[in-house]
Amino acid sequence: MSIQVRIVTEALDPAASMAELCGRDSEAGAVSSFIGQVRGGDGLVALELEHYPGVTEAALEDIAQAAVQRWSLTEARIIHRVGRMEIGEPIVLVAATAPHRRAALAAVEFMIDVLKTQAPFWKKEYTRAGSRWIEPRDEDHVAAEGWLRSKQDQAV
Amino acid sequence: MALNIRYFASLRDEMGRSEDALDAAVADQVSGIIAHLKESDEKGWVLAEPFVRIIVNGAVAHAETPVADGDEIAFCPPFSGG
Repeated sequence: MSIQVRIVTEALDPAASMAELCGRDSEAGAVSSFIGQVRGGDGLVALELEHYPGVTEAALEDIAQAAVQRWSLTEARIIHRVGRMEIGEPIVLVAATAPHRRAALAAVEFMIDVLKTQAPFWKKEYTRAGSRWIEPRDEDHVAAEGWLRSKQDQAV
Repeated sequence: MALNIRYFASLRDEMGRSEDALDAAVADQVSGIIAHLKESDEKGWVLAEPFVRIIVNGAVAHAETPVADGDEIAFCPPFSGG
């Protein structure tokens, strides 16, 4: 079992990270991942992500640790970029490896859902008209709370 | 030593600065810090808004959380990662 959590300021390379994960652990029969990237539209020019150094990493570590324990993962990985990003650039990579697919898939969904509202990150969007901080959407809270409420339900 | 206050994202913009160092005698819990900043800063009221999340020395905190000399108290808007 291993956990890797990183905050990066340079461009994310999800392909390199996934190449590292695939085939590494003989007990893992499944590798799953989620990549969040900057969505264009509504005049968006760029996105800026801010974090709380030290505290954000600890929160991500807790989330990855919870996923590993809950789904008996062989590996959990969260790499999140901060700073300014252009449209189409990856913001976050969440990945899990596990003996079977259901655990790997559920763990990735859990980690990204919980990360969005429980880890200290803030997003500012830059449009042609100016800039503004983005509030989390109600559905983001609902997704995270759903996982946290069903903590006792270990069945996958 | 002091109470080390940090403001993040939109709250930093509102307060016009990223940190403050307050005399530890000002407050013995988070609510005292908020009361002091409401009193001493015209923008301080924003820290009492219900959406504000408070982190003391890296742990989730609330108005009644005790604070002491050397602590780091962060005021954060809602998180929005990923």
